Amino acid sequence: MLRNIVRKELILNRKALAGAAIPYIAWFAYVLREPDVTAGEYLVMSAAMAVFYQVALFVREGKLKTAALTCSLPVTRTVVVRARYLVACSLSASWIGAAILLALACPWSHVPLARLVAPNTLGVAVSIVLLGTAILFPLVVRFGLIGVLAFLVGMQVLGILAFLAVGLPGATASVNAVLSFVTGSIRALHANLGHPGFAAMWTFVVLAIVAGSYGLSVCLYGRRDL
Amino acid sequence: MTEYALEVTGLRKTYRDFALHDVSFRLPRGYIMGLIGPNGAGKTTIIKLIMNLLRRQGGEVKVFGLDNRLDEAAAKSRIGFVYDVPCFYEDINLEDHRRAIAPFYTRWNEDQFQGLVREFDLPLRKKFKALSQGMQTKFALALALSHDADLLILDEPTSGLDPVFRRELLRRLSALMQDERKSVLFSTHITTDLERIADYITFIRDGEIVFSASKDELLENWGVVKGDDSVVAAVEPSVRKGVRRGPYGVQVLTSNVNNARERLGAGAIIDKASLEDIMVLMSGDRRHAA
Amino acid sequence: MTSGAASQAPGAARHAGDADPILEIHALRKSYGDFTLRDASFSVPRGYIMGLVGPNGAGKTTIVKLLLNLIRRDAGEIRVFGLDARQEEVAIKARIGFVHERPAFYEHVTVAGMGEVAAPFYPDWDRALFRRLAAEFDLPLHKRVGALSRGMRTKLALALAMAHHAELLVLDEPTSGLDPVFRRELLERLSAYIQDGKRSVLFSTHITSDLERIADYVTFIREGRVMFSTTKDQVLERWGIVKGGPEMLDADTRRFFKGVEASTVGFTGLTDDLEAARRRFSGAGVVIERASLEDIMVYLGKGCEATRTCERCC
Repeated sequence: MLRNIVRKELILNRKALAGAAIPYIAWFAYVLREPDVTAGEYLVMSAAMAVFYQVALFVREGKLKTAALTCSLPVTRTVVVRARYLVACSLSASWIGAAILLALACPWSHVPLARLVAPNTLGVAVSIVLLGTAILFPLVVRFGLIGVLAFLVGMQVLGILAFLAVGLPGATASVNAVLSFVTGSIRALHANLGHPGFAAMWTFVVLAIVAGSYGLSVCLYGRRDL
Repeated sequence: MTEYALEVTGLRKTYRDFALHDVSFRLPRGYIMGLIGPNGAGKTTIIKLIMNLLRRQGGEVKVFGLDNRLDEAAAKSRIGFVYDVPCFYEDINLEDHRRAIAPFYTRWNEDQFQGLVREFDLPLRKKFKALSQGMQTKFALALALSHDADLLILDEPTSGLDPVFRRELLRRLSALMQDERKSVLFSTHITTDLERIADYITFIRDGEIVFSASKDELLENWGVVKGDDSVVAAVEPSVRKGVRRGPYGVQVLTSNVNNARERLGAGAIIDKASLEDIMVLMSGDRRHAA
Repeated sequence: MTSGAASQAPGAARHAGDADPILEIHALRKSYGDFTLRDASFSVPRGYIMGLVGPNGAGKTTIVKLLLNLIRRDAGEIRVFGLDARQEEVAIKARIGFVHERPAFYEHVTVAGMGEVAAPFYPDWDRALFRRLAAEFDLPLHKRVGALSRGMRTKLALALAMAHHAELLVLDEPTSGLDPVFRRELLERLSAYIQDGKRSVLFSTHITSDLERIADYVTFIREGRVMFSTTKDQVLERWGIVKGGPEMLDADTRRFFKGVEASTVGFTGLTDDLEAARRRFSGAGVVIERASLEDIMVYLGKGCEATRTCERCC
């Protein structure tokens, strides 16, 4: 069953996914030209974009109204969700792989390769993908395309607020505090992943979160009226 | 071997402005059941509940004795489905759809599929959205008929099709029924098609089953009495199923033609009731001819 | 079965049709890659209902699209209300009500909203009439189009088409997806619509029993050609079905029929000359009856394939 659904998703979404590849590659080819992009930033960016591309699988179903097909075939909804998580995570991994290959292949790349393939950096990128997927999938299952849009718009609104907050006295400090907390955490993560103990614990945490998200998605998808 | 292809018991589903209450009917193996009812009566809702596309609020659905929730995949592997609204991927071609869908069914018959493709003249390399409505339905049918499904569930499969193809489809369904293990649940507005091939008719109205009976029995015993207002009283209330008043007189639907003949005598105008007559006359007070 | 208004002697309840037809199509031609509509001609008189029948892909929708100037014709003439369909497009469309096969609406707009969207385009838009029609058709004014079922969408399209007092109603498969209850009512309304003798209805449908109920004229199209265009009564009088045993069928009798279906147990033949068939095939074991429109459509389809001589039908 699982194999059938994975194959079905790949065949029937192939054009949408392939279509996404072109702008993705073009974008990162361009980014590679920037002189002060660090390996970390490069990978984090590719991870973030990979997450959104994968979410496309569920979203497409809503847009094209093909849910009736998927759920009328001899499958259970649980396996459908499982297949999508699987496809999402593995495709994301390949997006990141593609970004790395691009860095290798492009002659105008400024990104230091050694840092790119360092385990810590890869670890951060993979973490972002997995956590991003874990957060977004239940949203998409429950709210569909609107959910993703709401999320994106929400982030943008936060960004705009932060931007505007610079004008207000005192606010700058808070905004900076939040921003440095985020970047600090990523850096800390990056640094600590070097330690096997921390890495093991972190892997456990991430997988637990993904598992929780999976359980939630299965529940939500199971309840949905199609 | 269970004797019923489909058993629906006490099915319930509530929406804000519509509810399905206590829907129960059974389709024995080897027969065709037609599902009729006005728009919005609940036919598609029932079909979606059978396929577990909607979450039911009560009741049970068994397909060949398998619960449609607990044994979902097993049940669905024996069902061929065609829906009233196309559910395929617009920008993908038919061949790719086949490649994605066929592996789900262990009894997929590729020769059968290709034969149907030739017969229906389906352009496999074209994208789904490039097909006309009739062609889209034919594609769905080809898929549904290619995995030796024991139960075919068809929701308005013929509404976009011309009579030529409709007759072919009905012929094909009849031929299919020669294999007594096959069963069909067929929801349609084109009642003449059902008169041709259905064994049982289930009539739904406002979320409730009005009757689920043998077609032959319906067409033999039900009739329409025509005349003026006096005929209404002449038909016994217990068999008086519907009344319609129009500019040309009154029509009364009775479920017992013989009884009506006896009571009204030789001069009475009593016609056999077609399924369409039954539907129209049982549609209740909502509709009155101007 | 109760018949609709049209079963009364045509013309009895309304003025005799005006001399000038409401719609005239002459030698119309349109070519696509794999399909050609050729030499299509027919006319629809004022005050009558014409049904357009034919198999899928025969050209019915093409004709309707040409009528509305949605596609360009290669040759031929189309005159609506005496005006050329291309040159006086706007004037014509203000007086036509059109119902598409699968009505496309703005999904988030309400029923009442769709009325407001359509209104500015039509000088004769009657808002009160639209609301009345919506009420009669059971369409809640505040309901969003996206929430309407297919049948209700068609009803909405109909209400929109009728609400500006259109002189010509053109309906492309209006009844598919509608239950028999509403179909009957729709047909009754269409019959009532032409009662004043000044308006006409042209509708294409697969559900031939609907056509048989209310059409005055029938135009039959097959593979891009108009096979016949005549009064419904004439069609039903002239066309017939002959059923007999297999031994009666030989090359000679085959040629008599416009379409034949044969099997080991017997044959069914379609003829357009019922009288001649009655004279020729009288005898025991032979059933000769009037052909329904559906019979004509089904068996004409078997004409060309069976005989492979397409002199007249293709």
